[in-house]
Amino acid sequence: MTSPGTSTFEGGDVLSLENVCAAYGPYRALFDVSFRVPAGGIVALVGSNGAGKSTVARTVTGLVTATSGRIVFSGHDVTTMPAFRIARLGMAHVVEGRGVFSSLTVEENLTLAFRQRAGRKLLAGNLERAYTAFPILGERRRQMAGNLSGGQQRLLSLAKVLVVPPHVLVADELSLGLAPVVVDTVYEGLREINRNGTALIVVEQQVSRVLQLAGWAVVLDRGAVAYEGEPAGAGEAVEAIMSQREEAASSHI
Amino acid sequence: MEHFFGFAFPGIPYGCSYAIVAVSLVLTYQATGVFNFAFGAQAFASAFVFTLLTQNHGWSGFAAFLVSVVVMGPAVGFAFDRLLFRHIPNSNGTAKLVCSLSLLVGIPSLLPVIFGQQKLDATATIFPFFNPNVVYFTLIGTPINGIYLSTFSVTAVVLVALTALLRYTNLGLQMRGAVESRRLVQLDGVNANGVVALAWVVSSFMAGLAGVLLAPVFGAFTADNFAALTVTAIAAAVCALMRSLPIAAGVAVLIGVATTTLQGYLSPNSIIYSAVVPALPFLVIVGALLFLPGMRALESSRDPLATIDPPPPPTAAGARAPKMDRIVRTSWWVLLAVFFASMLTWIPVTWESVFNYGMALSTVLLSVTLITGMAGQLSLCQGTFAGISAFTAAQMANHLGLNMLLGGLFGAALAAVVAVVLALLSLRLRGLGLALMTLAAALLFDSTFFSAVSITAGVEGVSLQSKWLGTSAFFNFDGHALFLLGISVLAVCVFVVLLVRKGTVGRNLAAMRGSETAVAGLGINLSRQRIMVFALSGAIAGLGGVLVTIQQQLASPSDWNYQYSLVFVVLVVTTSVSTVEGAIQAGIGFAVIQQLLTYIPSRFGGPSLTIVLFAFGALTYAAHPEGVLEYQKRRSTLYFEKLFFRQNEGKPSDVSTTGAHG
Amino acid sequence: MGSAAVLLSLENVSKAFGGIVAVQDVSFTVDTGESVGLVGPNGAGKTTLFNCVCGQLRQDAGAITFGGRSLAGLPTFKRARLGIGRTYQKVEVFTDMTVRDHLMVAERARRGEGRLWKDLLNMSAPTSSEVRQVEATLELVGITHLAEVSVNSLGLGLCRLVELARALAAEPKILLADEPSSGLDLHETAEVAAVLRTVQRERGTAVLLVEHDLTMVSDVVDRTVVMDLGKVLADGPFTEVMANPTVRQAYLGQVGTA
Repeated sequence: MTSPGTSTFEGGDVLSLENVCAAYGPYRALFDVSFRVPAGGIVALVGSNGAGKSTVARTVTGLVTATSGRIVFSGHDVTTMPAFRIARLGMAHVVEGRGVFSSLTVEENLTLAFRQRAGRKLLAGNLERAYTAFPILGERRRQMAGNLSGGQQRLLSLAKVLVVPPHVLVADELSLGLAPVVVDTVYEGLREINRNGTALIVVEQQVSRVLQLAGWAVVLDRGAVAYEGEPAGAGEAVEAIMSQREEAASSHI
Repeated sequence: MEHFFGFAFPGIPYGCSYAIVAVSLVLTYQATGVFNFAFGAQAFASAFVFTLLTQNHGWSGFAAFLVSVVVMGPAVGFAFDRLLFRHIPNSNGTAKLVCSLSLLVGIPSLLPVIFGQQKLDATATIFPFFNPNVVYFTLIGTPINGIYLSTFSVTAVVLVALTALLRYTNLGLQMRGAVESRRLVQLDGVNANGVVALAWVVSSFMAGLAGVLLAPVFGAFTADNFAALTVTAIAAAVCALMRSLPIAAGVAVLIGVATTTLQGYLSPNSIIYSAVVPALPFLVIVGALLFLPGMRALESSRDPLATIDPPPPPTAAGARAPKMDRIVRTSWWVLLAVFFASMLTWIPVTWESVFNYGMALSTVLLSVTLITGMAGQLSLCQGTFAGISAFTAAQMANHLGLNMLLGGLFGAALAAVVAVVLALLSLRLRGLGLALMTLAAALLFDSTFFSAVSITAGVEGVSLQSKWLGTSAFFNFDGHALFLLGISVLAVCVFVVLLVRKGTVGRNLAAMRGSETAVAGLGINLSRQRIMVFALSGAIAGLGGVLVTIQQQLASPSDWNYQYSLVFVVLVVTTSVSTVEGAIQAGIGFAVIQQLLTYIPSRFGGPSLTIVLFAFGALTYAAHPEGVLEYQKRRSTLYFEKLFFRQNEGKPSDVSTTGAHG
Repeated sequence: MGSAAVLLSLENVSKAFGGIVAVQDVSFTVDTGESVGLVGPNGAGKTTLFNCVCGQLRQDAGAITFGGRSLAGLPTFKRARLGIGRTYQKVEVFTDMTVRDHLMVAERARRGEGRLWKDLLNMSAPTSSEVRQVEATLELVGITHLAEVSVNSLGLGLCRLVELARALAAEPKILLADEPSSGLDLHETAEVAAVLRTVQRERGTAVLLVEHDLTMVSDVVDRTVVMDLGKVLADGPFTEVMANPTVRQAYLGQVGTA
């Protein structure tokens, strides 16, 4: 099933980046990054630490405003749009690390997301689905999210997007700090919402796993695209960058 | 029993007034993340405008209410958010505190600048439903008039409405989310900036409403009354851990009732009556901070997306190329030599004393650099330390005929001891908690130590005969003794601060600003480091206080009240809190500007204009947390470097390794 | 391994947060110079346990002894002085400070320095032996080239290395490493693993390692403790523990990656 809003734009791409540059204050982080996400597709964004993966994710969802270039999402130019408008167009972002409001309860965290995304009428049902999918959240619904363990907080931020699937989900370092058994569940959840029409951008450090999932891969190095293509070739590209780094490091010392 | 209620009931209108403000304070904190010290000042401003319009301009109460509360309140709140608080990163608690403090200092000083000095009495009232002069019924022997009914009913309505907003509406939920992270809440599709702006509008409307409603309860129309109102409200809000609206309201009413009850039972001549009753709110604040564990956790929740903010810029000194650094350093020494020579030769007496005052003030301000700039802790009682030392020295001179310089050493030592006690009491407090604790300490000293006639000789203060000043005993140099004394003390203090910064303690303090957890995990005793810094900062403030006293030949309690402590922090933060030059520039700048303002007509506000200038200068803190002078210095440094060396061709550092992205 | 002296011992340690049990009756020991892995699903109570050992939390029940001495009532900094060092799940670096200064803070702390009067007499310049020590630690972790760099400009991976170096500069008897590979790529993870092995071999530092990267765990540890829902599920050699069906069920899911 394809959600109504994701009909074909620009040859079937739900999201496209053209020569996007971004910076944190004086520090430039992205240089002319371009790639596309087909409707209902899965793109893996890989690269070493500091390659700019998270920055790409944040630029796409509007947390960081691009300094130049163009980002088009569902037919709208979202380059300079504030993050909340992009979110209302159907973008979701599971941020790296803690992505929950620690001073709100588990239920309030979910309510905040569901009210905005799915409306008031569906709230009760959505909460119920979230608690069914992640029983631990149901047990702790009255607890402050800040008192959950690191991994449970990740589950909470995932529950927000898995229960009410967006058009595009940007998932930043999902498996970080999760036990292998949970990682399996999470990846299964991603596959499922993808089958229901959600396009995914998956940012990962652990290359092998995400490349099995993705249909397309983008490898970043020092803020620029180093490789774009079939996932099969991505592993090789990452290795090449690594060995380059190593050489550079050893000559440095 | 009837006796008791006869004392207790009159406290209820006061208690309800405190409750309205306390509840609004908690709402502001929950919905905007800012502890709005300026809330009382905002209320005062609205009440001021309302009274001005009705009394001096003959407006009807309704029209004046529209302008002063319905229009002015929200407009001020909107401006606060747009111009100030929106630009402060969520994680920067100090910046939020400093901005609200400078508003607290600036707003009451701004009013006379705009409207001129006005004599107003707050008789005009707009109690909407009940007539204050009518006794509606009698309850256990106490006549209940319109004031009781209106304050009580307004409080109840406000409490219910705000609780409903915050706890049970989607908007309240969004506000609470936005306080924790404006970015994260946007990812849920919430217009974070809009929500927070709305929160400010609601909060400022409440301030205006509270001001206009409460002015008649207090009779006399002074800024001090509103400050007292805020302080009591703060006490109640703190007891509610800045979270629970009903508890805040309950405690506020209790404080009101306790005050009138104590006043009823105690003899007006007893010590408790004159000392404890006025100090009640501060005792409540101190007690809450000491015994409610939840206060320690305040301000601890951080924005998970804070790393998106660009890293703070390096200081001007750190950004300079080595060659430029040498030039700047040399020119500082040249400037110092020229200043030194000029002070001894051609500078007229008036201006010499201005500079002397500036240097004495700089010494006090150095203590702020130490505690706020280096240790990262906001202390709001540095003026109190200075005052303790000043009065100790002055009384020793008065009673024992002791030279002020020797007495000053005793005074500084006593200030250090008080600072250590305060540090011990507040070992577990950080950020807002510490700021409140030190503010309460300052207020406590104002209402006890500084108002005790035996110590401060009343409002006139202790004047000093010149033979006690001791300057002549140490230097005898054509009337420049004071200058030489001032500059030597300042120089010693500067070196002390520089040595500490360079040394182990300074490094540990810098590390503690980064992560206290990790510092403790390395085996460093955080408490000891803090106590040492407090002691040193207290002593330096004390020395500065004595210098000011010697310069003015007068120790006056009004020079060291809590407002001055706030002004000191604001002054240093405006210039540059992280550098030693910042304190000196602030001190001398303040003295010079104050002198310059005596040349313009007093109807433009006179001395309060200085405070307005610095207070609103401090608002630049939002945009430049490093201090506006520091910012200008960095800019001009870069400019001159480009001009002279043409080597630093402004290449943006390509940093693929910035911590900001993963 | 059996004959070595017990360094850290936990006996029936329990900790609950507002009625929710995070750690329940946990007992295990770490011998001097031994390297132990602590693995388990999220919320199993691993970080809580670390916090109890370091003194950031007080356990509700049970006893923790270190080097034969009870840690009850000791604040964090005193435990650190006894020789407990740690790194953090969420990096805790000193913003605005250079990497060298990080190590200098640790070095001075190890020597118990920090007297104000020494600063005031300008006696706190780094001594040559301190400088040597710092250099040696930088070398050990392989971040000598970053010595003068401010941590603000370092990425997560390098920050973890700085944390590790800082903890090692304090020369702990035991190092509690909390997910040191989290956020690192394969290459960086291997580096951290190598450092941990070196420290254990050359300095005789015991290591207690919380980690989800099982390749790294099997690389570094002598023994593995598995926790789930606040309890110890298994305790023994890595391969043996990972073959345990209960562990596979709770932690690895049906597909074993070990």
